[in-house]
Amino acid sequence: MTTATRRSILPMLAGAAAATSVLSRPSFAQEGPIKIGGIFPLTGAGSVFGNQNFQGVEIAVDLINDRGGINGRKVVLFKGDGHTPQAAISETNRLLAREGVRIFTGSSTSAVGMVASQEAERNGAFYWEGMAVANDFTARGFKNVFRVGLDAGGLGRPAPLYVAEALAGLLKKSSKDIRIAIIAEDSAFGVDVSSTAVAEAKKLGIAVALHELYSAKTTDLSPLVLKLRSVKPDAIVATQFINDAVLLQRQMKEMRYRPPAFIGTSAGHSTLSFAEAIGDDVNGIFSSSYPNDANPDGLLPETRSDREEFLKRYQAKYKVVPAVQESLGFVVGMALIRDIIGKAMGADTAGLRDAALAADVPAGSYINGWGMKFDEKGQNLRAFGSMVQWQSRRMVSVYPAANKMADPILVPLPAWGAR
Amino acid sequence: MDIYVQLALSGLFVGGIYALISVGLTLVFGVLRVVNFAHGEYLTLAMFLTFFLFHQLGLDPFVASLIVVPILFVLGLITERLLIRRTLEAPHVVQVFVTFALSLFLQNLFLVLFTSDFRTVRTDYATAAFEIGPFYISWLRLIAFAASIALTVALALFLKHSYMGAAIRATAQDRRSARLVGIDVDRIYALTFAIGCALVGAAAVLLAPLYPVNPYTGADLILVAFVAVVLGGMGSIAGATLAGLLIGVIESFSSYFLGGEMKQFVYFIVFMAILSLRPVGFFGRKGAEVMDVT
Repeated sequence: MTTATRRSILPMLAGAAAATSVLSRPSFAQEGPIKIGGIFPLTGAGSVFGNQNFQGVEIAVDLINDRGGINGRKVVLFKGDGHTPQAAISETNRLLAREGVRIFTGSSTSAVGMVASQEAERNGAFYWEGMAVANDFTARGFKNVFRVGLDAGGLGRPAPLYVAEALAGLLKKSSKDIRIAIIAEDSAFGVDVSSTAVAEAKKLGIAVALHELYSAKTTDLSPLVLKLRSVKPDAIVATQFINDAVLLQRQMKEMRYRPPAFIGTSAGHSTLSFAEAIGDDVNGIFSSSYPNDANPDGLLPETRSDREEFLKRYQAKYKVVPAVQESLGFVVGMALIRDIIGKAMGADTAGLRDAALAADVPAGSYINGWGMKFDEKGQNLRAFGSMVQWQSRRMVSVYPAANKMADPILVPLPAWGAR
Repeated sequence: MDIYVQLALSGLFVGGIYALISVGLTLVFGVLRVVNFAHGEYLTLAMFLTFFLFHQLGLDPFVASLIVVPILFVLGLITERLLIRRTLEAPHVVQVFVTFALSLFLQNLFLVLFTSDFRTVRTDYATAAFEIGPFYISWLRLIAFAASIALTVALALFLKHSYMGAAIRATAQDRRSARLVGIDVDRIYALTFAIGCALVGAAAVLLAPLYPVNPYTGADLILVAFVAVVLGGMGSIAGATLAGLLIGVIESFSSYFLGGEMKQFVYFIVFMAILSLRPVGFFGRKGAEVMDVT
């Protein structure tokens, strides 16, 4: 969005915001705790990712409070259950009106993030997004809405890049001869991520032999498998949820079809349910994703201690090792509280916005290796996706160099049952 | 040529399961004149039962069917007694609200009990397949197809040749006359609803090793079953079976030739075309949706 269009929308929004804040809202209180509203799907279909995100943010809040808060003020995190877009709207408004929350974070899914951020913006509050990837999110000309996490391209681009930079060599081909098939489920998530993958492949000169969409609710992907078999790609790049990701692997196995390499671009391929469903056949499959862990050598010294704190606290509280979503939640919380609210001490929404636009946090400052610098639309330019590979049924970072924990193995993919 | 045969096989295999889900739905409609919107949630429930029997007790899904199908039958009896029977004389809109509410209630109950995670029954034979010439045939899908067709045929024979079957058909044709000739209509209703639930339980057992389950799985699949029921002619078992198989084959061909995102579009076009030419569906009777018309 250009600056001109932003200008045309802003007066209306600002007017609405001023009216509501004068009439009914307390302004950003200088005393008492700092209130943050977390709008995540905590029940319902999206609740797995929603809760994991929320838990990560909560660990960041606890850590900062235990370190003395922000200039002596405690941070309080309010829960808002945005299990549907409608619920997200009413929960955002409830926290605005009843709790006087002026800072929001969320949201796990784009459907929820889009409306929660709109409600916050409309009421002149500040909104901080983590995981919603829709490209439109930052294209609405909003003033006080920032996304510290990836856009769809952030998930879609690493796959072709990895094919060009690493896989082609391992498959003993040049990136000019290599052909990939790009497949995706047909919701906004699959469409956005796969089209950025197609664009990136074209830019890199990689031939896209097939770009195909399907419904994630399908019970039969064998026609797609037949198509893949006839196209014979060197690698498949797939944007899938969990059930369809499992179904595709099973039906490829049934039909004795095996591509030389398989790269998922989240969400299905980065979950433990995926590995549980297909067992050892998961080994060798790549997934581009939020970085699940950073190589500690690439982190700043104080970030290394944040990372240890996070791992220790999370495991003490939830008895499991945190994965991608949890660490992303922690990054979202640390960036917002320490580096935005902490810098804009006592300021209102406009002050937070100025702090966000002024932020210049170098890469390696957060536990997943990210830094923070926003473009004029509110997108973090120092967030990047990484490539993980399933090795011995665990996700291991193999790319980029800053996050690399191990070399890729099992390229080309061995036979089914021999991984 | 090979590709057409392979696509037809894939389509028929999936269609067999669609048929089995649809048959229970159409049977209940034919006899009770109630559209059970919670039919899909019984499918979900039975898939979860299969998953937990497999996961906790190590029971193979095929063995688990001996437990799951009777449980669904009993649940059907209970549901009919507590909910459906009270609505039979009420306007259709009340029945719609009751079964729809039951569907929402069950979905949310599953969410609370099982979370929205996908659970997979992972058997050693899940991906076993054999080759005939150039064709790949999954054992599980073949068995699911054969069992679906066998159960549908068994149901048809039961309705046609047993005394109870005759009573069910009589009730379907005219509930007042059935009562006049001494048929215990309430009992027939309970039994029919229970058979409908047991059939969807059987479908769930066959589906569980093929497909992951979460609280919305049944709701996703039931749309196809509704289309099959209407397309086949409401209340017609042969019609629902044929329509289920047809939808499977249409999906398979359209996803190969037009792309996976087009398959629902294509079968809905076929659906609308057939209904505009033949509004009662393949084997439907005119006025079947109106109570007590023969």
